[in-house]
Amino acid sequence: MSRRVIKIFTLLLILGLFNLQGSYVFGKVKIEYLSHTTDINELKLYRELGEMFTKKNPEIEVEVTSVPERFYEQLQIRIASGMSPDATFLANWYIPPFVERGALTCLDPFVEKERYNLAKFFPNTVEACKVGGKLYGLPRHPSPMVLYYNKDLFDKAGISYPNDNWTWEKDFLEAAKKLTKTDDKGKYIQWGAYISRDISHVLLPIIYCLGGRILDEDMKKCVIDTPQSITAIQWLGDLWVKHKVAITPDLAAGLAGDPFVLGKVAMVPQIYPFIITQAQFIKDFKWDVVILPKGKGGRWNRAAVGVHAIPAGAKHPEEAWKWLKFLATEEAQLKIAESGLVMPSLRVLASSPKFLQPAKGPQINRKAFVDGMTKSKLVKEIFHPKWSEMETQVIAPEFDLVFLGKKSAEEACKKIAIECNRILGVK
Amino acid sequence: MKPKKRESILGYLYISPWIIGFLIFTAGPMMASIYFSFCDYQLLIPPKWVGISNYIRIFFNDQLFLKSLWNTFYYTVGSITLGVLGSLFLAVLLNQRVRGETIFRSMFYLPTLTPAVAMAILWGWLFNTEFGLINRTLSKIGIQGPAWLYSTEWVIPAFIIMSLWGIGGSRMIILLAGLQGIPQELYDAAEVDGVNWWTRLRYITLPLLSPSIFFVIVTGIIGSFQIFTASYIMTGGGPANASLFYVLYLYRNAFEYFKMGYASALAWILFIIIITLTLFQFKLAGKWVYYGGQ
Repeated sequence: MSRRVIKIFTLLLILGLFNLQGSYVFGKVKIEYLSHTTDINELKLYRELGEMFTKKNPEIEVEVTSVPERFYEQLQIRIASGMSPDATFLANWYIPPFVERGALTCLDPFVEKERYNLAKFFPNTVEACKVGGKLYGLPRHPSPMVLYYNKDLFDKAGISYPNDNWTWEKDFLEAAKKLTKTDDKGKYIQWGAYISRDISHVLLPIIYCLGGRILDEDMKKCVIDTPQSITAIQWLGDLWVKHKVAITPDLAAGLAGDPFVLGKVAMVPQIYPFIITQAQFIKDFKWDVVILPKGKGGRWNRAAVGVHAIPAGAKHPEEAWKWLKFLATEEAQLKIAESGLVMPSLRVLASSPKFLQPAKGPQINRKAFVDGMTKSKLVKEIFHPKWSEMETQVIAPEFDLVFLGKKSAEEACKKIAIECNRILGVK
Repeated sequence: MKPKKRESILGYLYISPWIIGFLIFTAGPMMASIYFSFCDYQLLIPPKWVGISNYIRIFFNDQLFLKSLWNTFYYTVGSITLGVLGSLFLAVLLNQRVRGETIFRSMFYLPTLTPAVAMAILWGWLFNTEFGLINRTLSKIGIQGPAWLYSTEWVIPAFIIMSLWGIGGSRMIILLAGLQGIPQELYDAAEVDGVNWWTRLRYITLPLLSPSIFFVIVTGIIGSFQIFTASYIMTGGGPANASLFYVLYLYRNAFEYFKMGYASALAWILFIIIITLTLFQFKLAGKWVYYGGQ
């Protein structure tokens, strides 16, 4: 009996050995691309792109794996334990903390060797993939915000649609006031806007437009306690507390869907994928998009860029670089753009009718996205390696109090400055 | 080989998947994390020894440590007190000989089978300020409900109420088993003596059930100190850190701020807090827990 048990154990052991991941398949190099997607269509798309790539490079096979949950946690653990994928998706604000810990492969040697043309991308997206002047990823997609607006609600209120010269302080606020409605009992039934409380991706660019900022130009010191920044934060808070022209998050969460899609709010700052996830299902009213308003601080947008990168410790960096280059070709970018998931990072493609007037999907002012990238400066705070710590520990909790009307912006900003400077090590 | 020896080898072999799993995936990482707690360890680069400076920072220079500990403590006191009383109440009810008792037991147990994420979403709806079932019901009797998950004062009470979802779960099963283990003779004798229901409860049921109650309190506190998923999904620790629980704070340090060493130190402090609380309860237990054999 015991012999039989030992036999079974040996068998299991051998089976286990077979299961070890082989990165060489009969003379071919197999590279692994790690995707963050939760969307089955995107996964299919990348597998298709993998096949297209192998047709051109028969010696390389691409295996697309996906980690739909806690992606960055998994990616870190895989790099830390020496099991890096060969190429990966990465949001660009993870580049600085990853680079600081030596977790990404610098792409400069590849670029220099081949004189690879980086000018084909939106220039600020390439900048947004650099740390200390060195390149760590190729842009997959820029992700500027634009202002989505409900044409029917504007028509009903008798105000003209937002245009390229709109400002937050005047035009946006005035329109929002006119677009906010209560019923006979004074209960709010329609709001001017829905502004997400997401600091990194929504509020930062707005604060900059309003003339405020969180960190100074060199990102060495927190300057949120300057009068301009305090005014900006108070202006934001007033949208909910004083003017009540923005729907509060608790009410928004109680709706049976997105407030904009349900026609409850007239305007929402959102990104390109909002079309495919939400706006394309709108049947009851007409809508369009326009470049994000500017303010006395100028025109700003978010610096978020989706990136393809090579982790440190990748076993086949040369092959991974070829794959990265392929993903940045017009052919691959067009496929990605056609899926409607993201806008292309190639300038030519983004300004071509293929993107601006696609055969499928709603016909809207897509140029607003391109303008959002070319006409705005990008907010850099999210690249600070300690940004996440400052945001979740200090800034978000204090902003919560301002937006609830429990604290003045001045008090909150002073506290934020002290705490952030402590995290930044400013004496 | 002697049959006895062979038998014991086989025994170990059979449980080896568990032993190996425990050593590799639990004991090993635990030992490693003691070492990391004395290091500056950013996960992607090798740990650097920094002595007890992580611990010093936690105790003397980290407001969120105290805040998250207090939040967790507040939640634990509320959810354990109400939860154990609730489970006890249900167990007593279900211990009645009524028709279809097994159906009732299954019904009360069913909610605990809901996956945590689904439960979080469901409760998010229930707690909604305007349309949620809870505030709707309150408004029917003329009470304006709070903003629950979006209110600094009400977010932890909301989580406590949410935890009562599980009163019909394994805790109730244990109490029910305890109730059914109480010999009927004692009640019969009490009846002969003509005592009322309160005296029966006070002098027979509770003393004989005390080991089960003790067990559910101890395990309940251990579990409740580790609350994570609900606030991670529903509030992200907000608003204004009002629902920042200890394990969420630990998780953020480890995976969002890249401070694995600091997080390990936090983990060991939590371990010591839980151990101390548990030992303290065992000490107190001598005063109120009655074991039949003594």
